Amino acid sequence: MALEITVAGGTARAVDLARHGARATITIDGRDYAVALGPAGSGQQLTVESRSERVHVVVDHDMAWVHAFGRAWELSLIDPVERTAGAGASEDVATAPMPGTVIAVVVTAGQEVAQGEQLVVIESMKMQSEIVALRDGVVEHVHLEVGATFERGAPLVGLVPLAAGDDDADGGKG
Amino acid sequence: MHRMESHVDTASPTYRVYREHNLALADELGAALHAARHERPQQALDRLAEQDKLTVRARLDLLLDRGAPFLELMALAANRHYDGEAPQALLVTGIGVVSGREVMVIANDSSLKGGAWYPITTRKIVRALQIALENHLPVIHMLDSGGANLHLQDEIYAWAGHIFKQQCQLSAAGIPQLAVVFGYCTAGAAYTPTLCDQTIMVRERGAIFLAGPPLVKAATGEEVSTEELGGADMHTSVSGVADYAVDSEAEALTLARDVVGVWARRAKADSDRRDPEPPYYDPDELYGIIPDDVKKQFEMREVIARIVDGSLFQEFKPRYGDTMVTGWAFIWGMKVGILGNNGVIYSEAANKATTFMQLCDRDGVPLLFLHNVTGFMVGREYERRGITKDGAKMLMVQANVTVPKLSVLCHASQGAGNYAMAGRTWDPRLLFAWPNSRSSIMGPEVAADTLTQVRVTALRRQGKDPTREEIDLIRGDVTAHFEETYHSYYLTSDLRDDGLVDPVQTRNTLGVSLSAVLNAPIVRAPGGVLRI
Repeated sequence: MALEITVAGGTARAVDLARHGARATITIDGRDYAVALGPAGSGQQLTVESRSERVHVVVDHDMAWVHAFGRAWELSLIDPVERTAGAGASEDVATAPMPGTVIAVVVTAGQEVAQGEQLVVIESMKMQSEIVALRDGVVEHVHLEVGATFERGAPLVGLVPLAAGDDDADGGKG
Repeated sequence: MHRMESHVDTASPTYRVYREHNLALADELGAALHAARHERPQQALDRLAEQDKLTVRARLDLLLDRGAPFLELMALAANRHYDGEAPQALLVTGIGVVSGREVMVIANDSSLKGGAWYPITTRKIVRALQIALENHLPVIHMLDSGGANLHLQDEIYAWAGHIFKQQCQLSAAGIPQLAVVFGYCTAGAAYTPTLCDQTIMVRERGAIFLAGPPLVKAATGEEVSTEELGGADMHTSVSGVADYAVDSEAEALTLARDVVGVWARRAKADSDRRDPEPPYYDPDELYGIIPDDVKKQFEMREVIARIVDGSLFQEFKPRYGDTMVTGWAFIWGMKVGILGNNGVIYSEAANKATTFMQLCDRDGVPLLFLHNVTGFMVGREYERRGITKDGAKMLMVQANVTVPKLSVLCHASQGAGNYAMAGRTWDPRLLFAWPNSRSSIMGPEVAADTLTQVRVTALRRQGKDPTREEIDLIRGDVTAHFEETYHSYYLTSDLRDDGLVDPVQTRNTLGVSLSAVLNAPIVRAPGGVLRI
């Protein structure tokens, strides 16, 4: 099974391992390496191609710490399901997840917003829900006023991308 | 299983506001529990001492295994009833450990009103015995009550018969019962010690009879002392109604521990276990996650991450029906299938829950319901797609699963959503509520609108045209009534749950609960799991 692993919070690497007895082939981002791992003292002896190194490994759930090459490396396994959670949420328009009423409008047109920032608060089915920006941008238009009712899927707030490099030029606060 | 990823920002202003709000609620709960358990007028305590009686708390200390958990149930019973004159309904009940065995303890509190029964006292005993029956917990009755509060006899009498019937059912189910008689057991109450397998009586204090000396004199003219009529020596050496006579309460409780120590130890239900580990995320952060208003939403996954072992959760169908969170985890090393709400239930969410419950039922995994539900989605689009049909499937499967169910009201629990999530009337083995939670047939605003409209229409029909102020007054009344009766303290007062729990105590509460429910075997009813 191919796994995704990051080293010290860096870019994720696709890693696949095939065992052949005491030896194994590890594929990292499409390139194969012949490896072997065996016990050695309090740690383990790792051989990659022709290079051999004494390593110590500690695994805690989805994290692993490897001591090798004179320093410690933090490895993190990316859950294949969580990886895609929330994916596809980058639309320019924040839409209503259900029919309801607007009870607060937090932003105005021209305002710069960051991903996750509150745009409007709606109420439906006795619940208040915050509608947040799905990505960084500038508010183009707030479609509804406080007290207005709407159907599911109705546009609530439109966003346009931040103009590249102009964030200092005009402050972005129209 | 993977460690959950938390997205809580503990530095955010919202987090700090929520935290302050919920810490205040936790303090309020702590104070209310302390008052209900311990605060009694000095006069009442003096009176107990004069009678050479211990407080119910002191008795429990002598009975229960030191250092073992005691999960008190329905601790705030009657806190909003009877003008507060019957704290805890003058009865303490809970799941504790005696001589290494998990037991249900039911103990009168005679510090006030002679430990008289109120209607809620009666229902509290019935509920405790129901829990004992369903979870195969042996029962220790600690009896010290002046009997029914006769001013309220009709409502007491309506329920009391259940108690004795349940005692008979417990016996038939092979669940032992022991009575310790500290005071009078008169009339119907005489049957509680008599229906137990074994009964201990304290000399000069405990008595069992169908009618006490004054009533006997009135009925037949016979004059007889309490000890002669129903005392410990008479019953243990002449009538055989009781088994052991002792001189003091302390002796009675030591003997009770010996008696329980001889009871059979039964194997727990076969259920997946692993070594317990604390949650990775600090449960204390729950205070900053739960909103300060029942209408505000939060992410139930953040709650699960602070309740389950290692914050490890195997989520089922994470991308489908996202207002219902389903998945497997361990709590104190015991496996559970969790269903948690993120607000309203849509068809997809209901169907996901239904399939998940079938999976857990087939595999013998206990279910845990974490409520934050405002109901099933309403409106044309949803009715046309058959939301009621999907809700009905969820109810049908939930009602008929054979695995144990536990419920926690974490925030909102309203409408049929409460039913679908194994609310009180759907008989979860145990149900707890957080102090911030609210539960009602609908939201208070909608109810206030509806009722105000009804009253105004009625007034207009009588030819009266209410002014703006009068309408506001009506609305104020209706809202106040709703705010009172959907409040967690009111609901727990009327036994709609088995107790209010401080959110950070949820994990421990569920740990003791799971351990208790596994005393009863899990009888599986295998069936195919439908992908609906």
